[in-house]
Amino acid sequence: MNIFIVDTTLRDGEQKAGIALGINQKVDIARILDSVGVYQIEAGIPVMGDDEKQSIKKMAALGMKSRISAWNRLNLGDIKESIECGADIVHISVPSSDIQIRSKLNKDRDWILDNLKRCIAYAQNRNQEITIGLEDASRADFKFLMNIITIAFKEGVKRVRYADTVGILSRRRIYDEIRNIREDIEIDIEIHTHNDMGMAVSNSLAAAEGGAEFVDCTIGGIGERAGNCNLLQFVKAAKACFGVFEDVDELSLVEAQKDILRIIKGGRVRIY
Amino acid sequence: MDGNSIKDKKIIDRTLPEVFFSNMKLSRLDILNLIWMLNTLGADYLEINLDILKKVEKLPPNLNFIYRIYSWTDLEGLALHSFNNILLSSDVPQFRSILDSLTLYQKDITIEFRVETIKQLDNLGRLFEAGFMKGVRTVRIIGLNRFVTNEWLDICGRIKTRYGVSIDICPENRFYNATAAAVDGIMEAADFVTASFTGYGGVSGYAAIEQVLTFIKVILNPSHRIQLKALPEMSRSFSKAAGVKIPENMPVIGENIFKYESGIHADGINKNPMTYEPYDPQIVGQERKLSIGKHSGRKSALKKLQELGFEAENVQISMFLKLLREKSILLNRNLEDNEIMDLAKLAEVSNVYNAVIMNPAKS
Repeated sequence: MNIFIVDTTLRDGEQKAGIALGINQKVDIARILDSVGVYQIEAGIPVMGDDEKQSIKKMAALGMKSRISAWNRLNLGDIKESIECGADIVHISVPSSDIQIRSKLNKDRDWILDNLKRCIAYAQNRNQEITIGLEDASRADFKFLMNIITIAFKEGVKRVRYADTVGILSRRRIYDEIRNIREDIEIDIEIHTHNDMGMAVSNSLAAAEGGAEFVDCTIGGIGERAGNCNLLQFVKAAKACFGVFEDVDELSLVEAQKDILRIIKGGRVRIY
Repeated sequence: MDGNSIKDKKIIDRTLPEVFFSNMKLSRLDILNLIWMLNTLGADYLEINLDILKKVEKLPPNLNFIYRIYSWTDLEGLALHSFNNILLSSDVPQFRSILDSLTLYQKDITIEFRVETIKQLDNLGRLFEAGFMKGVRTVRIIGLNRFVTNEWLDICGRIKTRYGVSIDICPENRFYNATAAAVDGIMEAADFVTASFTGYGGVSGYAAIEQVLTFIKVILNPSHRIQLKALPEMSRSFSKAAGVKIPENMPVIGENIFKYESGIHADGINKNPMTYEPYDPQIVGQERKLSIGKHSGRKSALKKLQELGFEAENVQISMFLKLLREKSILLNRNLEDNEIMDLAKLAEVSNVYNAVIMNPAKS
């Protein structure tokens, strides 16, 4: 079993209400994450503004081992900003549940699929590696999810992110859904869980067992509402349950967590 | 799984013995308060031991208790209260003799076994076949730390069917799987699930009962009798009793879990809260709170300014957002109302206009 960690402390983690990082803080955190060997750092949302773009550009220029990715809405303007930052990967988040498509965007499924193709083409024409996020996948119609994945795959996308945006998954369900996706399409799957019901780590483990090779985590599990999958807890659990991460030193991760939380809030972030 | 079969599942709470173990100075009233609140929340059975029984002297009638026996001396408790359900761990010294003695009381007996491997689960079946489990109504399986997928539940289902026994699962949280295992149990073979408030107790904690109850209520069966509005009060009582502070981002009960700031989320919640919430905060006795800071977007900034008495057309919103981001990063946090008002005054159109007129070069 292979598991690659995608750390989203600097994007989803920073979205936790009350956290506000400057350019240097973000770059310092990225260096620490790189030092503990995370595969990918989701560095931020360039369309948010100049500071955000500057921080991502700086990270991308450091030549770190960790790959740098930037998060985007399903929007050409967002993607343009990300490409200008020099990120290794541009992640395009596609609202996939009817709640998101109808209530948030006031659109329909056809609009989503049309814009998905446009955004993929725009990025690929600029030789940009992309991943596609299935936002609110756990509340989406599974057939529509497969529709999105199929289109993305046919357009040359190599990885999709299954996002449990509001944290309602159970282990059995995510294990089955990941298996079903993998049985139909040979695409890499990334799992992004939230901890609203206290199951983010568990659901990520189940997704990994079902075939998701990329797992999104944050330091301290910080993130929107009850947060995301806690990196340290996930690594510890995955080691015990699957025998992976044998070469990862947990003490280094503990120190990295302390250092990063100190940067974020002077160590005052109290985590669950 | 339909709502009716979920209703047949029972939740056992073990908060009381865990809290009492760490704080024996708990008063009788504190214990009774916790008993009533846990029952109101949705616990079907409450685990009790002799120490707690002696402290409260008389347990409330019409509530269901499971009496835990640790040794011969605990049999004394069976004379103090008419328990229908008794719990005995297989680790207890002289377990076999105590079990034989308990069968004479004609109560529902639960035996607790630690299970950490599939082999240990299979061995339970052998105990039944060898006739060692006569008189046992329920098997409680404690541990389950390393199980991720549900092979273990399939085995539990076979034990149930083959030996006519009920299954109670009490997952431990050593690898952060306890709530998930409890939820799996409810959706599959378990008849009972044992948990504690915040997962408190034991060496590595248990499933958090408030998370399990919320999953049942929100995802599986909204018409279940579970009442979650009392959670904030329960959290306060528990914090006081156990002497622990609940982390502000703790699932279901953390005081800041419904605080939101990011522009994308704020916009979605404004249009339909369900876009970015798993359930209405009021279900768990909380309110959503809009925070203003680095990630705030135009719409939530305008909403806040209007709330503070500023007219939208009087504030240069782009300037306000710029100042907001800078201040938020400088302070390393979101802003309080008075700080927002100060920035709004700086960004008021008249002030911006005057600044341009007075200092055209700097502008």
